[in-house]
Amino acid sequence: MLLFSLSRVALAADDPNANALTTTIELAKAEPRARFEWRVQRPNRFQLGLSGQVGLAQGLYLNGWPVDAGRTFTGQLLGSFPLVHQQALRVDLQLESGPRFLWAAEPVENGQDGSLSLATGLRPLATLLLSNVWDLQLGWTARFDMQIRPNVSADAIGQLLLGGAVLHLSPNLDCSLRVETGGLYGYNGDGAKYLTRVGLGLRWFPGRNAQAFSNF
Amino acid sequence: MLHVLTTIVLLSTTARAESRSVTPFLSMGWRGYAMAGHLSHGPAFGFGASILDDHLRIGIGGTSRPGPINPATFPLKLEQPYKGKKSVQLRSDGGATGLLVDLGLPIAQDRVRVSTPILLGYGGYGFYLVDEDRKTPDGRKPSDWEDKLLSGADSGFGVVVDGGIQAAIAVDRVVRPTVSARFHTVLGYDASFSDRYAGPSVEFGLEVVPPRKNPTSTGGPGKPKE
Repeated sequence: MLLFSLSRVALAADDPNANALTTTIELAKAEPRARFEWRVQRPNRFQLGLSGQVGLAQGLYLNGWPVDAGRTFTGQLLGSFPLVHQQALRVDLQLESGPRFLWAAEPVENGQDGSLSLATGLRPLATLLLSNVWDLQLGWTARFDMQIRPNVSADAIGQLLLGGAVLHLSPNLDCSLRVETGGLYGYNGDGAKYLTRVGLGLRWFPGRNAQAFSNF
Repeated sequence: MLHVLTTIVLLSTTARAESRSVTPFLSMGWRGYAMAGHLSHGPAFGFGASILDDHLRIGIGGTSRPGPINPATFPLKLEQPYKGKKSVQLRSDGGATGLLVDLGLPIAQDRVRVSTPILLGYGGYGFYLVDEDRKTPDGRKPSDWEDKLLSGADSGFGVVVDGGIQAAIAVDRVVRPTVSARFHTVLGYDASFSDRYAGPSVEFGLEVVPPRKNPTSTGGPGKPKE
């Protein structure tokens, strides 16, 4: 329903704003999830967007206690700031932030079965336009996820190296493969310590050439 | 950190209109360490502004040495048994983040940029229970037991100094492989398991530095070779 609504919004928008709708499956041992994203890009290549993520909690932490079964729901605002835009290279600084709700199938402590965190990521991202067919991406993400309820504590802080490839399937459709890996720290050492995540995504550009977009 | 990032964005945005005298740089790599009496490895990263024709880079940088991907374990003999055992195996993890300053010079007809990256920041390293030992006998959190077993000093934090020499090879105008040798230390580190977490490291990585558009510039491998 969300995806349908967003696609209607995107279709209704005309140039000079370029729109993109993305669906990504992100595989990670701790939290496999599906991600839906809508972005709009201004002519100056500044981007704003919204994302929604639905995940399975298989190795997350609630107040420092492991959650092996549960659900996550995340909504984030996205911003992408263009730093360099050359013929073969684009460098952007991306920021994403929003609430993440975690529900545990079994209460972990004192009957606590849910938490609310603010999930924030800052990502310098270089996109190398290798040909008309595909791009290469390099960068890293600084993660700062802060649990707000039931009490305030650092949930996951760390940096993930990022490598990816974008394949231009058609003028209006891209697919991407992205791998992120790095160390994490949270809950005074009781939280996640490492994350490797593989994402496979499809992005649709209604009424606009895919390469008009600065990054994926 | 926010101030540094804001400055980078502003400088880079300004640079677009001024013949790219300032450009962003981005680096990522993987390090092998010989710290605290063992071998380990982990990712490293950097991001910031390149100025003075790429002779100076200023930004943020960091390293991490994750525990789960490093096989080294550390035996700890216990004065009081833990789950009936007189010793446990610990793992170690940690990292650092801070200000990155990199002075560089092009050599070999701009084919190589030799530089001295220095990271000054904050970080630390600790030791933790692993696998089944994380399921504590009394339901308390593992960190509580780590504090208890290691007399409240299962980790150490402090000012991190990381510096060395790096070579970036200009096989491409934009992306260059790098190799560096560095020394990494946490000043004042003092955990009960070790009173020192320092040592040399070797890093292999990639850096992205946009070519400069100013044809009159003289300097680093970022200069376009028209």
